[in-house]
Amino acid sequence: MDELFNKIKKIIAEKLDVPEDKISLDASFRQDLNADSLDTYELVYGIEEELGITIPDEKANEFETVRDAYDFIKTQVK
Amino acid sequence: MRISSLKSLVIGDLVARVPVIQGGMGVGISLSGLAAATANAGGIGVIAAAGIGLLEPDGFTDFQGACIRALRREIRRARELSSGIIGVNIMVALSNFSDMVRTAVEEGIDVIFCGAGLPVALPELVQKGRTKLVPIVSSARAAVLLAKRWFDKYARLPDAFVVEGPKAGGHLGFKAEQIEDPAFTLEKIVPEVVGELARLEAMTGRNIPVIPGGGIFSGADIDRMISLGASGVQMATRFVATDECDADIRFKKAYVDAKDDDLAIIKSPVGMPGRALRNEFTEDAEAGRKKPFSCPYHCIVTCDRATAPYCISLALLNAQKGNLDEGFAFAGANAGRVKEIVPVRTLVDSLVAEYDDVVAKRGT
Repeated sequence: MDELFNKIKKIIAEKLDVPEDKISLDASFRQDLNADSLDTYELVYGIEEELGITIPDEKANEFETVRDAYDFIKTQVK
Repeated sequence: MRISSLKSLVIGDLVARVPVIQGGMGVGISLSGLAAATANAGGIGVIAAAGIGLLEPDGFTDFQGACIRALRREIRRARELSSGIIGVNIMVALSNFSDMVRTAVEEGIDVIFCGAGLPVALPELVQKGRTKLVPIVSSARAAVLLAKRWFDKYARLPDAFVVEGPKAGGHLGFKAEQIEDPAFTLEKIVPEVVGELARLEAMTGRNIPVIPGGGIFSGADIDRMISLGASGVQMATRFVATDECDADIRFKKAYVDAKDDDLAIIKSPVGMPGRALRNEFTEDAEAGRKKPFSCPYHCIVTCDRATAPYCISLALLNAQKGNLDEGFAFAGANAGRVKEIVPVRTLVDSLVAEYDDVVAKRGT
């Protein structure tokens, strides 16, 4: 996997308090990683800060799986 | 007149002589009538924006337009009836959230209360003017997350927080299993919020009042909350049983008649638990005997219209009109203790007197 995914994985692991090996592209934030709505905000803000990007709220609301987030973030980072 | 020892609630440049906020109640339970009466009694009166357009003749054909028109009219009417402090409660989960916020700001509303979701982008919609922004949260974590976000992104802080505990009525910001869990009582959450905000206050030099709500019934309850660091309280259930409450008399009587075991936690179609007065409608819904319906407006973002067994807005609207066979009443955990319908001023004065009695007996 690429470096971006590893970075995202680290942030997810830290913000959602889950082991990194549970975080696959297909993992669902709510079901598999047990994220509630507050977790999701903390995660999105964490990613924004770490990667220096902006994730619009309406976009963030559409993230069901790690892949959804990864695909969007990939378009934003330079 | 005796001077009360109850301190005013100060939110920025607003000063409420009586530190009681009448909680917003939708659909149509707290409109201009109740809000103005509360403001006139010295508290903060709150109009509920949820589904407000459904009370209009064209509420089902032009939901968006009817909501804007109705909110505008209710705010203006409240202003005609009172020179006190008037707020609106606008749920973040409303699909017309932005419309409602813009309309309230255009009308120069004093305070916007926002719950049912985190109003992360609210300052974007309220950039100018004197409107105070007061989010409703159910945990210290949510309060800190929101305050930090607003500060980082908009250089603004919430003007106060309402902290709603699990004994509130209507939709609750808790998971079903947390509602009876001692780790989630208001008495537990309020000091946590006060403590966390104190650090932010020290950092920014700003004061952020904490206003608990959910199950607060008497002057003794107000005293208890103040001793935990609160600057005021939010109360809703008791304001239903008032002459000025905007619901039909049958809705108010349902509160007066309610016993403790009439209260139930229901699973709302919008994906949150809610506390309501149990009746045939709620029992049919829980037992899966309700039929699917067609929804013309999708008023709540989180409502899954395809699988929802009934329309929550319509059920609440029917109850508001007194037709409790076709709907049900949301209510707080202490609705069973409501005994009579009184004028708002009588209620507010009695709360102040009870508070003073408690303080006098304690001798402080």
